[in-house]
Amino acid sequence: MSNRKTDFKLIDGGFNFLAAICLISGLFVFWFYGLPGVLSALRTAAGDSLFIIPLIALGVTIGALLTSLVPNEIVARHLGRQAGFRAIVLSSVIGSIMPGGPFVAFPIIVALGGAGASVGSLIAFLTAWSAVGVHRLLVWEIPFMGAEFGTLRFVCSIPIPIIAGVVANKLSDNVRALRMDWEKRH
Amino acid sequence: MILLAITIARQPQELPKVFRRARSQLVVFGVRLPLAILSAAFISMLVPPDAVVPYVGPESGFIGILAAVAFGAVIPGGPILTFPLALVVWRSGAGQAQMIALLASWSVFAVHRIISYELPMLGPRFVALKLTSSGWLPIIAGLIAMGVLALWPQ
Repeated sequence: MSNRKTDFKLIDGGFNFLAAICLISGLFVFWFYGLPGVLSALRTAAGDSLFIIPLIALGVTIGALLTSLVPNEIVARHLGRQAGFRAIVLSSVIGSIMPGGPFVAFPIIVALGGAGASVGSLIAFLTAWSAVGVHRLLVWEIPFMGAEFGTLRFVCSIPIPIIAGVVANKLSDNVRALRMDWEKRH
Repeated sequence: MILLAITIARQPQELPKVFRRARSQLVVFGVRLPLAILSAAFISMLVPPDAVVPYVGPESGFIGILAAVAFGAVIPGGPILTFPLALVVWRSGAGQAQMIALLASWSVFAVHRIISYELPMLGPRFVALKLTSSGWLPIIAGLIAMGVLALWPQ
């Protein structure tokens, strides 16, 4: 536990950037509305935080549990063996439920390519992970915008990775400039 | 809870790892989110609704979806920055379909992710193929949302 500080940096570029945005916008509010304006913003923020942060904590825990239940290598091996439309649909489904940040998803995409999946499957997986993202729904959308909006957003995004995968396969087959020779690259 | 039960039943040795992972993420969020939410509260006081509603309000239709896609495509950051910002747009009176187009566009384009992950790990040709095959889909998501909202009135 003594080396906890080296595990992750709390104060880094991202933190400073947010702090700067907060300070600058706060100064503007103070300029336009004076102290009562700042106080009312603080009250809104406190109310939002009380509501949003526990939900996010729950979402993060669910994400961490999912990460341990979905073993990456097995996913890559199984998807790599599938082909055609079926592979695209399967990649979309697994990409959607795949939790974790880009440092989890991108190694899987590279492994999928190495396992022989079509480029359409890779793009379906990437698009599903980023645009459908059950994980994102749980951690961000439901806490910030409510379950109703979250569900609508989720439903409307489902076709996106499938279309992207089909189009990507077609483009890769027919347009020379966009042809992927994955095996040659790796 | 169900997931927790499955994990306990199948991989009890994984549990400490799960909690460590969740905790380290939560510590980072716990420091940054209050800042982001406070910024959002400040910014939403500064942004007059007139600056949002005519462009991406519920009545803005297809043009509003295009505007939302353009806006979403240039948000250069992860969810900690994007969702409080989206909350500002949402509270200023954006329409649901436009909001969906905005979020879909942010997640498909994700400038920061293209630069730091996609180009180095997958190469420029993959990125070009990805953008041509999925870059226009946020518009489709917005249109689907418009259709769903029309059929299923709130």
